[in-house]
Amino acid sequence: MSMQDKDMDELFRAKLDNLEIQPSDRVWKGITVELDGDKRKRGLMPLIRIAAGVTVFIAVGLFFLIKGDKKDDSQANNHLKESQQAIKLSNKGEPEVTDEKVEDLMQAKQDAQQIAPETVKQAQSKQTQLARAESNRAIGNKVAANRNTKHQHKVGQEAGKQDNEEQQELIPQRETLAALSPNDDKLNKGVVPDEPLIATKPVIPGSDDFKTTNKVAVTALPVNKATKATVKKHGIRSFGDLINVVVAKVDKRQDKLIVFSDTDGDESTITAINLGFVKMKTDK
Amino acid sequence: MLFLKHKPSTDELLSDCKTGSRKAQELLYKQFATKMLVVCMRYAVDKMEAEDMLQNGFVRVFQKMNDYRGDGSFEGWVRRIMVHSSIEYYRKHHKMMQVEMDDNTPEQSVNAAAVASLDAKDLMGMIQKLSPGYRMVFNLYAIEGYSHKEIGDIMGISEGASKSQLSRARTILKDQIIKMEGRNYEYAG
Repeated sequence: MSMQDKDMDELFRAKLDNLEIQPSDRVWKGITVELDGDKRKRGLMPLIRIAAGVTVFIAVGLFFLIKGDKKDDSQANNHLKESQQAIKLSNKGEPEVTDEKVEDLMQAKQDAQQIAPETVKQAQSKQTQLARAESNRAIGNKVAANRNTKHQHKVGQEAGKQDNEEQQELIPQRETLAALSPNDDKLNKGVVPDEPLIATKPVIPGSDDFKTTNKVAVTALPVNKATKATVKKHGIRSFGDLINVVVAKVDKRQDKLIVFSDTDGDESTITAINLGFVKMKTDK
Repeated sequence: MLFLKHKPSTDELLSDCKTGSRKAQELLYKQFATKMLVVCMRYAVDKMEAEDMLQNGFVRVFQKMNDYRGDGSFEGWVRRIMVHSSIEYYRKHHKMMQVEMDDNTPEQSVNAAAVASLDAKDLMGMIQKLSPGYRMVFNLYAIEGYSHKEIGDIMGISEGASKSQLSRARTILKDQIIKMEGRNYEYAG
């Protein structure tokens, strides 16, 4: 009896379906090796992603650091040029006035230095910081008075009696503080980082009599203190604060790369992002 | 005291395999490896080659375990993976054979009883002796049930070429069966 093609196919299929052959042990070993290799590859992926993220963060940080330095340099150069131009203009316009001011300042310094040795004993006998503060104020008034011809000698002598050698070293600094309030003991004591100073200029009683023209140097000092005080005030309480500190160190722009909220809550939220071409800021 | 060892069912093994349990994977492998090796051997020249196909197939089974939705039998799903693994192996290691048809070979008739009397291992040996192209077409069409169009797409040949290769493969197999039948008669006589 001859066989059709389909019958032959069916016979082959049926006979081979029932057949079983035992594979060698190397097959299972090979399977486990391949599966373990696959697991290892998967295990490395998160590490690679984290490394890539850190690299990008550092690269962006360096980019802004370099960019910020260049900006600062260019701004400093601009300021320098402006000041140089101003000096040139003032030399051309009012040469006599500026010479007078310089002479007045030099005179004040000399007076303080001459009077100081005489008053060493008196200053040692008088203690307390109040006395120093008063003397500081007096010196400031004296410096201002030196620019004013009426009060120059009286105030300078009173102040000089209570002064000592330490105060002589502080004279240039006090000159800049002369226009501030005489009651402001914080400024006279020195920098107190935990207490932010008021950036605005306080009202000075009786300061009209000692008006000076040196106002530019006065405004710079309290602003720096205020920023220092705000940084120290909050401290690093959360991950967001940590990022804020790092970004503030790296990114010198006014609008930082990323800013987290500095609330006392556990969760920090992003309040501002500045990618250069994209800026986002919330009013939290 | 007698402790009965609980033999996990295929479903239990599957759920454990999906969690990555190596023990469950081994048990599942042992359950299907002997049958699947036969599937691979039909596409291979020898057992060594078949075991390579089997290894690749099982690695894919465990990797794609979550893709099995339970539609149809698990054995059928594993079997299809083994066939695809064998086809891939074939593509990698064998060039698609440009078969020169020798249509002058006379068609011989085979006795059904003679085929029935043959051992399964003999039939496997006959298939393995076929050239790779013939073997592939015969397996895919006669055993797996693919159409000539599908085989043409898998092997990159035309539908007509698939038909002619199948025809040639059958002729060779019948010739071998007749030879085998004659040998058996000689032994019997």
